[in-house]
Amino acid sequence: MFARILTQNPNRLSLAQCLFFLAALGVFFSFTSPYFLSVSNINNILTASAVIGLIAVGATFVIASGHIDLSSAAVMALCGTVCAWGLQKGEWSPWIALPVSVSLGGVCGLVTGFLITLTKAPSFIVSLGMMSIARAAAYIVSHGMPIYGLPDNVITGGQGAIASVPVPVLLLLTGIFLGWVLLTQTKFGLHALILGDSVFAAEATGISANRVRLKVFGVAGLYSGMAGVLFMLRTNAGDPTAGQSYELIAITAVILGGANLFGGRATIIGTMLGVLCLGVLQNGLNLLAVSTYYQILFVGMVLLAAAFLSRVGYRR
Amino acid sequence: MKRLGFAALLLLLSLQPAFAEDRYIFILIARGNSYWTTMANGIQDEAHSKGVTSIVYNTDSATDAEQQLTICQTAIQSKPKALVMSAINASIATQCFKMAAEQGIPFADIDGAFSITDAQKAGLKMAFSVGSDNYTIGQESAQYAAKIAGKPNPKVFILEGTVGSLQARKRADGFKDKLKDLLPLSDVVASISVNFDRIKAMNATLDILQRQPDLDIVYAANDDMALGAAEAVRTLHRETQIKIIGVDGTADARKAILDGRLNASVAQLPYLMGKRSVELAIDASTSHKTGQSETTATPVLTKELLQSNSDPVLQYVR
Repeated sequence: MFARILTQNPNRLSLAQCLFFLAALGVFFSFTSPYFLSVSNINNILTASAVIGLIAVGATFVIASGHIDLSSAAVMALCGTVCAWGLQKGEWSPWIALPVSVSLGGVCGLVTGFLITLTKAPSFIVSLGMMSIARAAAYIVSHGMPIYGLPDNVITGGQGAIASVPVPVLLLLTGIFLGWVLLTQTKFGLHALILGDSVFAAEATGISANRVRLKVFGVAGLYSGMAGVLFMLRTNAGDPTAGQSYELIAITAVILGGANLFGGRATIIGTMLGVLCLGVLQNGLNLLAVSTYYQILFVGMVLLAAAFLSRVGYRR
Repeated sequence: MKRLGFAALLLLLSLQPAFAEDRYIFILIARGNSYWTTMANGIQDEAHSKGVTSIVYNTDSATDAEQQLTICQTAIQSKPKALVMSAINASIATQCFKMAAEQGIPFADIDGAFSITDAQKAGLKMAFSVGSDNYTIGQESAQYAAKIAGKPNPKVFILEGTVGSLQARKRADGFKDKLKDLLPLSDVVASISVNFDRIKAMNATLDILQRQPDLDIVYAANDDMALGAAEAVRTLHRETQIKIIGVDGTADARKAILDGRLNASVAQLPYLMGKRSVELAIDASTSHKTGQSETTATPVLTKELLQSNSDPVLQYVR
């Protein structure tokens, strides 16, 4: 009965597979390392997954709508750098610097979405262009050097905890909740999924593909902005080189979580399970002090195993 | 798009042979990294004061060897007066310098990754090599670690650089070998590569502290990683327990040392390397001398040294 419920719904099947995979990793590491299941280590995994998690939530919307955003990590670096510049050099109040930087991410996303709509070019190419521009802008703002040493009150807040839950984890949970509401409880989320399934079907039902696309990239940009600010808070620096290849890790997490790379199917919960799989794997290998060469090997093998597992569902 | 822009830039460079005669080309590594940016500043300041044109190129990342080779090939087309490169690996250095030798362009190493001996083994007559010895840097870091450990059996965590990076390997090996000599009972609890990346270093340190809460020392093969480790230690409020040593002596690291977040950084003086490389390149282009090897100082920057400002070499710490 349970198996039938799962296999009738591709989303549930993917979630179950990802959950199984995460549980398998958890069981393996809890047997091999006595430190793995401690509360502080779980906080640790969640904290380390927060930046990638926020980018991945944004990427979920983009992938759900049938697009790819390669600019997310570069936009993240730009937002973090601008925020650090504002706080340190511009002497902005945190109440200005943080929202301005997150909004900058949204603006970058809207520009990407607008250009895709205007040129009808593939999102892959347009976002690659935005990636270059955002990264260059981050270098220009910072003069090619990380902006280190932010005001103590900002860093203490960003690296602190509320009711024993680290602030980065709270930000991640907020981002997940808002993403879940947007994707599952609003017309916008439904329209993004329909657009990803078929542009013709979406337009036939009166959905404005252009408007949805614009919103999707705007939302993804806002999440990149939040990730950028969080990255800055965690590292106490605005780093123009931050997050090299994070966009690919985020896309990997979304796909591990059961999303269809070509659109039409994606869930926020699945994405988070994908992010956690990657976070648990990295944390577990570090706890076991596995040599770097073998860490790379294990990550590759685990990703292949996950890809194989996901194909089991498609065969049905 | 990034690659297209980069290719267009290289095309422009190759289409301007008319300006080639006065230019000195310097090919460095990852842009956006404080170390290479400081070195580029040293090159440009000295070139400006000598009245020569210096063109500095950086690769996108510390591992993009193919991109560095492409930059070299295109740079040689513009017939510079001298070509100075910090090669990502020995193979790139050999290929690039062979092409320069065929064109009669003086070539040289900056940062010390490809020594005069390496060049001789490859059958190349290199003008000069200026830089610091990364193995010695590792050893100096271990000496300082042994000095501040406060016990004969400290638990040590090593943050290595990029896998395959010659500099990263030498720094880690130098540290491990010397530490074993000085403190045979010391315990290296883990040695992990986090690609010279600040947040990865922070996450790895947090992970290791779960397993090893009584950790004594973190040695990071560059300052970005050391600063990541410092943020991890600060998050857990273990500043008094865990001592952190970095390498490079960047502005960020010096600020952190003065603030008490880092214990020391073994400085490499990239600004001085950049400055000296211009002087030596001008000399090589006129005298055609070869085989000159120059090692720059690697002072251990501590709070006391920075506050006293007593070492004249500190003027090159940028």
